[in-house]
Formats: sequence, C-alpha cells, structure tokens
Amino acid sequence: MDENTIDKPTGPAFASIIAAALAAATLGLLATLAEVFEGFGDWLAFSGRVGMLSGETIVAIAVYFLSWAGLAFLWRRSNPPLRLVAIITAALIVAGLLGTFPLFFRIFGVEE
Amino acid sequence: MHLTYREWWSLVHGFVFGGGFLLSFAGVMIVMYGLRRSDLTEKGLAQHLLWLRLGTATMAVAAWGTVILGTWVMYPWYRNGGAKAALLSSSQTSNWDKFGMEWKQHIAWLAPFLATTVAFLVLYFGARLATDRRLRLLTLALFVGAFGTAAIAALFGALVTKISPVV
Repeated sequence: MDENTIDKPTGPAFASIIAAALAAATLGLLATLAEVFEGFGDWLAFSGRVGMLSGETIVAIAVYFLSWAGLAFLWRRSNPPLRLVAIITAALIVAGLLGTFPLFFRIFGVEE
Repeated sequence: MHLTYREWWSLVHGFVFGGGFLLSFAGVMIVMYGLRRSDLTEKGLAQHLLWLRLGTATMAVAAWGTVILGTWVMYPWYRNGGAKAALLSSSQTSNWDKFGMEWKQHIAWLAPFLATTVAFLVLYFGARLATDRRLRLLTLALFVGAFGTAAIAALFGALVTKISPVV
C-alpha cells in the first residue's frame, strides 16, 4: 500500500503540535507565576522533595495530553491551515521559552 | 573506578538517556532532511521511514526518561542534599543555581513534549512527509527545537554538576 495515496486529515497531527506548544507555554506561565507569587509556588509543591517544579511539570504534562486528546477529537476530520498552526505554535513556544527564562522573572521584581 | 549510588543514577540520567538523545539527533536529522520523494526509490523511502520512526520514537522515550529521572530522582538530591546550598553559599557561584539550574530544570521539559510530537508526526504522516515540503519543514523545526532545549539543559546540567556535584 502506498502511503502517499492516503490523504488522512491533518487535524489529529496538528493537535499534537498545538498541544506541545500549549504545554510549553503553560510551563512558562506557571514558572513565572510560581516565582512572582510565593503562595502559588507553595501550592505547586505537590511533592515536598521536588518543590514547585513537581506541580509545574505535572500540570504541563496534563495540559499536553489532555489538549492533544481534546483537539484531536475536535479536528478528527478537519484540516486546519498549516500556516495558522505554525504561527500559533511559534507564539506559544516563544511564550514558554520566555516564561522559563530566569531573567524574565526579575522584570517582576523577583529577588535574585 | 568506584561510582556511588547517586553517581550511577547521574550516569543513567545524563549519559544513557540525555546523551543518547543528543547523540541520536544528528543521525535522525540526516534521515529526516533526506526524506525527499524525488531522491528516493520505493525501497529507499521505506527504509528511511523505518529508521525515522525508530529514531524519533527512541528519542522521545529518551527525552521522557531524562526529564523524569532529572526531576524526580536527581533534583531532590541536588535541592536537599547540599549541592544547591553549596552554590548559594557564595556570591561567586550563586548564579549557577539562580540562573543555570533554574533555567535548565524548566527548559529541559520542552524536549519531551516536542520530541513526542515529532515522533507522532512521523508515525502519522509517514511517506507524506517525503512529498509535502511544508509538513517536512514544520516537523524539522520542531525536531530542532527539541534538540535545542535539550542541549541547553545538558550544557547547564554538566556545568552545574562540575561546580557542585551531587554525591
């Protein structure tokens, strides 16, 4: 069977791309919020040994798999435009990179 | 040569999983970049796809193994076992924790998300990646992103460990 002839919808695959980017952005957002708001950081310490990194990563993993499943279901028969998916993905990943960059916290007055 | 219990785990985290991921990148990248229908016979395309599926799936597993071990096994030893306190005890080394470790522990987690997505794209689209240039480039970009984030984490991991090892 020639796979080239199979024209599967791109939706489920593009869902995984957006999900990865959403997880990256979530991690960035949580990392920044946990540093800026001490109480939120304490809440994210799901494990005392690991600290707030435990909550940040567990929530990001949940966002990754749940958003992938949800978007894949929504887009199971559709073909979202690749250009739009690429732009959204790039924006979310840049947000994630920014949020996880320690110098970014310092803009909000987090102690060095 | 004697390795402590923690050093054995460091070896698995940094060398087996992390090193395996980084070293596999070049090979998988070449196969992915060379996946052009016009340059390949039917048999060549099938072989390329087999290697690509094996390579990206293995790298995704390695990326998850690296970050899970790093976060749940290595990091508590670093955080509670004296390595972090040693860095923070001097103004000359404190930024290795406040910047280096802080960045590494977060950015590393982007690698498994991106690597898993790349493995899924290869599995899902298969030979279509060889004919659709835009899909191939998007997959390549995500793959480079996975490598880039893992490489930054590995670099800071090695440097922080060199300055204040977890023993």
